[in-house]
Amino acid sequence: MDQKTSVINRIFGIFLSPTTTLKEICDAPTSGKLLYLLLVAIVTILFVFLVQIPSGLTSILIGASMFPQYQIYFLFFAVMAIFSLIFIGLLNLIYATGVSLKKSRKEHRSRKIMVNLYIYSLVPFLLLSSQIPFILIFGGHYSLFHLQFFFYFLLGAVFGWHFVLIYRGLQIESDISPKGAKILTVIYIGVIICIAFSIIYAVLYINFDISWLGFLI
Amino acid sequence: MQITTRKLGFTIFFILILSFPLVFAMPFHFKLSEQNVCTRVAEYTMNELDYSIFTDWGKGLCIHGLLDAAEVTGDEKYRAFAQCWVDQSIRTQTDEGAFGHGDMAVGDSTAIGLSVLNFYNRTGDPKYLEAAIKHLNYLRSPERVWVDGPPLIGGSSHLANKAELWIDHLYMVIPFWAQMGVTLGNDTYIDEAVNQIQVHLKHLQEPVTKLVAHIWSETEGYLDSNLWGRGVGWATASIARILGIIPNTHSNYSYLLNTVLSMLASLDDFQDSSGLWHTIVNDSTTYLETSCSTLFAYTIAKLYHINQTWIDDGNRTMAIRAFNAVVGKVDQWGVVHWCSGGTGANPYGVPRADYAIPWGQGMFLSMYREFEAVNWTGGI
Repeated sequence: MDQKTSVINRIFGIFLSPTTTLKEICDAPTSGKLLYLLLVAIVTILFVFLVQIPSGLTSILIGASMFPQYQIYFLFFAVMAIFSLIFIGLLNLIYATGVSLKKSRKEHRSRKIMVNLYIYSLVPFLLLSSQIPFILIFGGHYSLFHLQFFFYFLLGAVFGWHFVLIYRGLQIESDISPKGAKILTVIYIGVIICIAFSIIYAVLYINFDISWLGFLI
Repeated sequence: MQITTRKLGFTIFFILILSFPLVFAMPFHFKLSEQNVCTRVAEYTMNELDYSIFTDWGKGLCIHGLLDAAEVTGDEKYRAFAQCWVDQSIRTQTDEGAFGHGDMAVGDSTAIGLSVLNFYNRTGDPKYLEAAIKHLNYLRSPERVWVDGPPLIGGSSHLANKAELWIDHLYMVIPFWAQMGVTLGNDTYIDEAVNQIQVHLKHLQEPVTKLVAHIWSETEGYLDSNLWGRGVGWATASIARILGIIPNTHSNYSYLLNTVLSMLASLDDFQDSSGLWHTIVNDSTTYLETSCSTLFAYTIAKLYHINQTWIDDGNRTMAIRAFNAVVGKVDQWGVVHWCSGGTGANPYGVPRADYAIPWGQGMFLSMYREFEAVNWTGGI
């Protein structure tokens, strides 16, 4: 793998020049790249599960035995990562179907969406990896050290980054106008936020049991 | 050029979000390390546990623990925090009367009950008493499942849909029931609470050691006959708490006192040299566990607090050794380590938790308050 197409270069490229990188990957998707996407998504989810339970990551690293209680805010990351895994899995299937259809338009479009989701799965991964030192040194106890607002900022950055990248990704090699892409992105992010807040409201005000969420983690 | 600028911007952003929490947390870390163990545990319990997620009895114990921490430290923020969640448990009270939200176990939803009454006594706000009465009516309802006898005579099942006696019920439910009798001036409720203890002990107490098993089913017998440490702790701590609630003229007062003292005598034989007890108290091959040790220490300090003549030097030494051992399990952040987790399938095979467990945190605070009250926190 040369410098231009190396994995690290591609990852940084997505953050530094997303439009160009998206085009580059769209032009030459391969089965290897698709498997790589799936792997990235799986690793992301594992990472998110560990980080959403901050001292859990510490526990793993220092060889302790179990995860602590999960926390609702970190659940957002997990939900996003789960969406990534599901969608990328589906898109692998679509891509396989696309190959048999001799590179139909459907396949072409699926590749584009796939790449968006590739980025989608990487965003929490890269942002949260910046928190590893804090997790190791201070146990990831954001609330204990009055860092709730920083944590909300981090959460906002994840959503914000999602917004920008999805907005740009939607416009690549498609006839969607910038305005249309913006509307679609707002709807998409809006739905996720509404779902999250609906769950919180349901728990705190209408006696909704969410203990089943524990099984996801 | 544009790429280079973006690369620089990205690197700066990454370094900022990496270093900011480290720098910001440093002074709080030094401040925390200077605070005493009770404050550390209270701070962690209030700030780090997610009360919107864990909806069961663990929250009830944490809330009560924070009220105890408010008494010890004089810091009203713990009480204000507790009040938010007590109010929330009332806001989400079911039509039947159960506190809290989404918890199927009858007994577990009651765990926050004493905190509700605490705020009634403190504020005089009738909403707390009305909610407590609604919950008591729910507990006393003939439509609930009763074990080995008719309603209010037989045992109150811990579960909503099965006839099972759980030793947990003694701690989660019975002190609230007795306290309601005192608050409302109704001796019947007090008698019912004491009767529940007798019914539970009839089925769960082991005759030789006088300690108690975990679960007894009306249809299947013992579902768990182990002398589970925390379960034994629920029983001793419940009785100690009730002795502090009901009048000492009650006809069964001596029975309750003798029962808990006989348990303590037996526990003395099983205490490890570390000061802790094993999760199965009579099986030294099982791991040493913190929460049961906290409950036993709490029991002795509580009894001493009520009447100093009940506790001899042997029990006092046992309690202080346990206290020292439990304090030794608290880390720099205020996490009480080595409590066992939930008791689902294979409960004793579950490793000790190396993170904060709600009941470990909450009971630590309650224990500390009793030790502070009897001036035992200085150790032996």
